[in-house]
Amino acid sequence: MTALLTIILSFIGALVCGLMPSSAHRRIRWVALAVAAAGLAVSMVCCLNYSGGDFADLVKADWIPSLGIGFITGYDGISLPLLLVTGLVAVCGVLFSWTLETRANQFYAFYFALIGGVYGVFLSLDLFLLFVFYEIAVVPKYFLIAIWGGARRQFAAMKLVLYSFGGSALVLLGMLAVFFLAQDATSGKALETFSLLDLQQHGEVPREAQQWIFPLIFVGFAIMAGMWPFHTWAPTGHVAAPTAASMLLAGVVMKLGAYGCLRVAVGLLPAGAQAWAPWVAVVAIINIVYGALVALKQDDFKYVIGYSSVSHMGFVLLGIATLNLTGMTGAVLQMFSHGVIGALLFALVGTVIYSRTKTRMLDELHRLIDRMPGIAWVFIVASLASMGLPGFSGFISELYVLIGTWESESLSGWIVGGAGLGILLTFGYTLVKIHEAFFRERKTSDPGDAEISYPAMTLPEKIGVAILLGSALLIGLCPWLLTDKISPSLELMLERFPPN
Amino acid sequence: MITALTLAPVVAALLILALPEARARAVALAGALVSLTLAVWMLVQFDVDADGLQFREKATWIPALGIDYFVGLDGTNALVLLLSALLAPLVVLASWQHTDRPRTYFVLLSLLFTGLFGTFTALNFFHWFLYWELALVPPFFLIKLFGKGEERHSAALNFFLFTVLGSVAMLLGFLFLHRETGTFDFIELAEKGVTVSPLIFCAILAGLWVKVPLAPLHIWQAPAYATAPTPVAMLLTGVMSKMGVYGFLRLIVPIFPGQLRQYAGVLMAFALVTILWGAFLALRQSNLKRLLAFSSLNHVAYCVLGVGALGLAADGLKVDAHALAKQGVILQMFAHGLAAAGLFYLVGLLEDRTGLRGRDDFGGLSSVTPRFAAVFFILTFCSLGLPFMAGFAAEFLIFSGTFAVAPGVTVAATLGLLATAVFLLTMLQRVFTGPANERHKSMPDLSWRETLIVVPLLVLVFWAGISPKTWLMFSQLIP
Repeated sequence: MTALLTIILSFIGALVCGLMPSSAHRRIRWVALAVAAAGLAVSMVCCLNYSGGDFADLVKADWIPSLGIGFITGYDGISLPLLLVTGLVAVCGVLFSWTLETRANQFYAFYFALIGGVYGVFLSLDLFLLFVFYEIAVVPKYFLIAIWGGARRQFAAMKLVLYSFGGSALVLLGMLAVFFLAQDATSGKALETFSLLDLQQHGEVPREAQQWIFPLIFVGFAIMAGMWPFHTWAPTGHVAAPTAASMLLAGVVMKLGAYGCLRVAVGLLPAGAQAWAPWVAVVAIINIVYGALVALKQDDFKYVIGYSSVSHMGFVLLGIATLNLTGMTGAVLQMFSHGVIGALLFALVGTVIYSRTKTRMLDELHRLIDRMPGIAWVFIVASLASMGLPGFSGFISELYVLIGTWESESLSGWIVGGAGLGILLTFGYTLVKIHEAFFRERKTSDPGDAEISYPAMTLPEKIGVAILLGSALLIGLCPWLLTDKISPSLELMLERFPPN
Repeated sequence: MITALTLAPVVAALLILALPEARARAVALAGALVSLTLAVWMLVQFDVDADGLQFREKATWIPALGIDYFVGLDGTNALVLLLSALLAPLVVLASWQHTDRPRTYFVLLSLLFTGLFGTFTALNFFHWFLYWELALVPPFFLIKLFGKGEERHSAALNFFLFTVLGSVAMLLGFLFLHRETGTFDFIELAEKGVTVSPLIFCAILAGLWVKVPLAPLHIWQAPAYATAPTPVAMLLTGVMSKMGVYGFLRLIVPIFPGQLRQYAGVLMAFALVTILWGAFLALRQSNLKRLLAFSSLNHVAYCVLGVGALGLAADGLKVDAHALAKQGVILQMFAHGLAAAGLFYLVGLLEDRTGLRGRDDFGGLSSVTPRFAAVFFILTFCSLGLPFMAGFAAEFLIFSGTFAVAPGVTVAATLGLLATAVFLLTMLQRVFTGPANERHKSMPDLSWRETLIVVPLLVLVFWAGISPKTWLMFSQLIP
C-alpha cells in the first residue's frame, strides 16, 4: 500500500492546490513543496525496504473483470529508480518555481496531476491501468505548456500532444494484440488478461506475432523517449515549457517512454526484442550522434539542452537493445542519471540564468563567468556531469551501457564505435556551448549592461541544485545503491527470455 | 595512506570554498604540504628490497562490474608520485601573488593535484580513469580563465579535445579488455596476459600517445604550454607529460608484452621522429615558452624510446638492457620533471617582470640578476644532460639500454642531443650574456620566496645526478 500513497498524495495535492485561491501563492508553494516532498519520502521508504527482485507492495483489486482488467500496482527494482527520480524532480521543480505567482493554484494542480500520472505509470502492473495513467499524464502537459509557456507555446503544446497520442495509438494497438494473442505458456490456453503480472509470469505471445507487435509497442513508447526520427516534439516542447514543466518533461516524461519500452515491449515480447534489437541499437546510435550534432548547431541555450536530452536518451535505448543484464542495468541507471542531470540543466537555463539575463540566445550572453561566477560554475559542473565526467552518475551509466554493448552477442563492435563517436561529440558540444555561454564577449551591440553583476542564487535555488547535483554525485560514486535493486529484477526478466 | 595523500587536496578545495577568499592560497598550500609529507614519509618507509606492491589498499567498489578500489606503490610510480607531490606545494608558492579570482584558481589547482596523485597510484582502470579525467578538466579551465592572450581559448579547447579523443579511445579499449577478461585490475590484467586485436591496442595507445605527446599528436602542446599561467605550465610539463609515460610503463609494458614486441620498432621510430622534430622546432623558435615546450617534447620522447627498447629482444647480452632502459625511463621522468618545471617557472618570472618572452628581448641578464642566471644555467645544463646532474644519469641509462638492443635508432637519437645543446645554449647566450639590455637594468633578482621554490629543485637535480643510486633503488626490483 505504501507506494500507492505517491499517486494518491499527488492527486490530492493537485486538488488542494487547485482549490486554493490564486492570491495565496505563498501558501500554495509551501503546500506544493510538502506534497512533493511527501512523494519523495514515500519513494525513498519504498527504496530502502526493497530487496530481492520480485514485485513488492502489491495492491490488487478487480476493476473490469470481464475484460481481464484489474487495478494492480506494485514495484520492483526497475521502477524504483524512476519513482525516486520523479520524487527528486518534483521537489526541485517546486523549488525552482518558488517565485511563480501567475495562477499558481492552477499551475500546481496541473503539475501534481502530471506527477500523479507519472507515478501511476511506474507503479501500474496492469497494461490497461498503465495506459490510463499514461494518457492522464498527457493532458496536464498540454496546459502547463499552453498557459505558462514561453514563445510558440501553443504550437509546442499541440505538437507534444499529437506526438503523445500518436504514440499511444500504436501502443494501444499493440496492447490489444497482446490481449488477444497471449496464451498460457504451459497449457496454451488463451489468457485474455491485461495483467502484466500474469502475462509475464505464465503468459506467452506466439513467436511470429511478437515480430510485428514489438515494433508497434516499442515505437509507440519510444516516441515519448525521444527516439529519432520522432524526437522533434522534445526540443520544442522543452523549450516552450515553463521551467518546472521542462524539468518534468526531460527528467521524467521521457523516462515514461523508455520505461514502457523496457517493461512492456521487451518484458512481454522477448522474442520480438531479440529480432529487432540490432535495429534499435542502430537507431539509438543515430539518436546519440544526431542529437549531439544538432546541439552543436543551436543558438538558443534551451535548445542545446533539449537536443542533448535526445542524445542522452539514445544511451537508454542502446542499453535496452543490448538485452543483457549489464546493458539494461545501464539503461535504467541512465534513466535515473539523465533524470536528475537533465532536470538540473533545464532548471539552470530556464530559471536561474534566464531570470537574470532575460535572454537565452547564446550570442547575446556576455562573459557570464565574470558576471555570475557562482551560477556559471554550477552550470559548468552540471554540464560536465551531463557530458559523462567520471565520478558522476552519467559516466557510470554510460559505462554499464558500453560494457553491455561489447558483451552483447547480437550487436557488432561498430555500434560501440558509434557510441564512442557520440561521446566525443558530446564532449565537443559541451565545451563549445560552455564557451559561448559563459566566456565569450557579446557579438551583438552592447546595451550598456556589460559590467553589471547579477545577483547570486537564492536559497531555494541553492537547495534544488544541491539535491540534484548531490544525487548525481552519490550515484556516480556509489552506483550499487541503485544497481543492487535494478539488477535482480532485470535478471528475473531475462530469465524468461527464450534461448536465442 | 595513499588515499589520504590523494584526497588531501580535495579536502583543501572544499575548505577553500567554505573559507574567505583571502585564505585560499594558504589552505591550498596546506593541502599540498600534507600530500608532500605523506609522500616523503612513504618513500622513507618504502622497502626497496621487497618485491611487489607496498602500501596497498584494496576494497570492493562495484562488484557487478568487477571494480575494486585498488591503490599501491611500487618502483614504477614511487618517483613520479614524489615528483608530483613535490611540485604541488611549489606550484602553490609560485602562484602566491595570484590575485585574479583566487578562490576559483586554487580550487581548480587543488583538484588537479588530486587528479595527478590519483592517476599515479590507482591500479584499477575505473578510478584510474576518474583521476585521469579529473586531471584534464581543471587545466582546461585554468588555461581558459587565467591564461594569457586571446589564443588561450583555442589552446584550452585543443588541449581538451586532443586529450579527450585519446581518453575515449582508451576507454573503449579497456571496455573491450573487460569483456575479454572481466576485470579492470591492472595487475590482474598483466597476469592474465590478454591478446587483443591491433585496433584495440592502438586505441589504448592513442590515449597515452596524446598525453605524452608523440608526433603527430603533439600539436596541442606548444599553444597550451605557452598560454597557460606559469604555475599551470610547470605542472603540464613537469607532471602531466609524465602521465603518458607512466601509462606506458603501467599499462603497455606489463599488459601487452606481445604487442609491444610486435610494434616496438614503430614506437621507437615515432619516438625518434618526435625527438628530432621537437629539437628542430625548438631550433626555429624564439618565443621562450614555446622553445621550452618543444624542448619538453623532445626530452619526454626519450622516455618513449626507452619504453620501445623494452619490447625488443635482449638475449645474449652481458648486461640487462631492459633493466637499464626501464630505470632510465623512470629516472628521466623524475629528472625532466624537476628541470622543466623549474625552467618554466624562471621564464615565467622573466615574463612577469618585463612582460616579454622572446629569446632576443633580453641580453646580459647574468650581470643584472646573478642568482637568477645561476639557477637558470644549472637547470638548463641539467636539461642538456651534463654529468653530475639528474638529466645526465637518466639519459645515460636510457641510451645504454636502447643501444644494446637498437644501436641504429640510438645513434640517430643522439642527433637530437646535439640539437638540444644548440638551442639551449643559444637561449642561454642570448638571454644572459653579452651587453646588458638597458631596459632591464633594474630587474630585481630572485626574492626569498622565489629562491625557496627553486632550491628544492636544485638540490634534487644534483642529488639524483651525483648519487643516482638513492633514486634507482626504488625501481631496482621491477620485473
